[in-house]
Amino acid sequence: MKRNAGNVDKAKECAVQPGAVQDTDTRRGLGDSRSTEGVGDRQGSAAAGATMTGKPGRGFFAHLHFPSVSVRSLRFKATWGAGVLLIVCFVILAGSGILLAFAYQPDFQGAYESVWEITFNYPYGRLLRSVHYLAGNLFFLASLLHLLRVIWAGAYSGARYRNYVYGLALLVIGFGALATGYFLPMSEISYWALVVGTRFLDYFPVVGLPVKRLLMGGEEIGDATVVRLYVLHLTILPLVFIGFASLHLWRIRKDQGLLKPISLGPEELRKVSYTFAVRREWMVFLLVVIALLSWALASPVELGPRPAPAYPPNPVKAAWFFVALQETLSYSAFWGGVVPLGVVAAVFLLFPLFAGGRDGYPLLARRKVFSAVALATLLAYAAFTLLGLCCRGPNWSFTMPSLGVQLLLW
Amino acid sequence: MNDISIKRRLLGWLSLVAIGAPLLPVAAMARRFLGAPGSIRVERKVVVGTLDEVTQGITVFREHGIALVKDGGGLSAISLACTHLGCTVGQAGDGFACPCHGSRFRRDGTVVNGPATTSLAAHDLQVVEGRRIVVDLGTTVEAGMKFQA
Repeated sequence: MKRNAGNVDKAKECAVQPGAVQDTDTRRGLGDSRSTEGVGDRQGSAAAGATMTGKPGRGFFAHLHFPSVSVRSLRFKATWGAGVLLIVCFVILAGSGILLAFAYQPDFQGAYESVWEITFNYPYGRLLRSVHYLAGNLFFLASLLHLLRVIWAGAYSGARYRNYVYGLALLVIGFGALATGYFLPMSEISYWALVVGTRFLDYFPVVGLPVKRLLMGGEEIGDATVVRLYVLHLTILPLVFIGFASLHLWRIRKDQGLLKPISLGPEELRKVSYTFAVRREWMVFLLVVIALLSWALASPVELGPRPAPAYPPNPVKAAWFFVALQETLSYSAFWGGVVPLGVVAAVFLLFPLFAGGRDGYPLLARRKVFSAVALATLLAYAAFTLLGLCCRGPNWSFTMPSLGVQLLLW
Repeated sequence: MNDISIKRRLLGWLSLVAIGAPLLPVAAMARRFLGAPGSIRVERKVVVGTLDEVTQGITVFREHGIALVKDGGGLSAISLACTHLGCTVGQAGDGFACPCHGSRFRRDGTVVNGPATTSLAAHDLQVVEGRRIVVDLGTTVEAGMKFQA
């Protein structure tokens, strides 16, 4: 309301407000009558009862939803379930992470030893670590999927731009949590990633050095570094994440739910009770739990050797989500690292501002261009990851992938 | 009506400033605090070995993060820290190669191919008691500089 009132004077706003409320009421009423009119539709009549607004007994969790949602929003193609998947992953990550925190020791030597203890001595420790690790990976993949879906739907222009930016912030925070989590065991792979990562910050103008000092807490990687990563991973990043995620969810309601394609039939616009959404969310939760548990049991997480600063493995290979960056860094730290990251950030942040269109719908042609750009970025990321994983041998020299990998790719 | 609206907005901005202003020095203090204590310059002289341990060409002393390079009669101490992103380079033929991103260096530390753009650092080097080699890891000298042994 405040934003709308920007140019209008106060009196006018007051006059408009009751009208606006009335308007939404009648709209809701229409939705109800339409759904009751869905002749012979079992869901329709069930929904009519539950769509009542102001029904007593709607608790906190119910208020995260609209009282009623459209049939279209419940379809898989409308959301790919990605947003709910992210919330579910976050809940699992928080639960498993809190348990792990009870056994983790944040100093350079203790980190590795305590993670070793967790993995090989604690009851269910390896399972817990596997679930935490895999949920983190799934979280990262789901955020890419979510971003891709939002860009495909064009849900980023007009009033929705703000929520799109919150989403990008969440992606960055999530990746930060993934990275710090990957450093925390202080195994060989963590150590070298940290060496390279902190040195890489030197190449960023202005912000690089303060961030580097914040992360390292000294001139060299040591106890102070581990404590800082620990605090970031366990308090700062989750808290900031929860803050932005709350804003993100609240904005969805402010923006009247999902952005719907303009040409939708009455059947798809029909409103049903929010309980249909809740049911689907629980379904995603159960599926994710089952998937993570079976995945964790099938391929439990490993713990690499302790780091030996004088004796790096050859080649040093980062975790899969960093390999694309490692590959481009092997061409140049500035042109292969700083510049591509800056360009990608600028494009994703600024493109929606030039997407045009009215009423929050971007122009179709520009929507398609942005979708293509996003898909191309993702494919480039995947290609560099594969190249780095399969085609790099000792001293990061180019080698043909092994026969098995070739067959797998084929 | 408009007057009230402007006054309200002004008051809003003023309270924002009133709350924000004291936060600025606090933020600056927090930034300084999180920047960690200033570095203390320590002398990092180490006895690497003796002259008879050094062969013609490259001799790597990984535990000290250096290689001693004997070139004719000259001796130099080359740092093993890659100038690209800080990995530890290893000996590869008559030079050095980085296991992280594939930079290659000649034995005097100069770049053969990237991504590194600057030479490996060299450290100050002394020979004491006629044969013990002392390297000061805290120093950086011009690459390719030789010490007559």
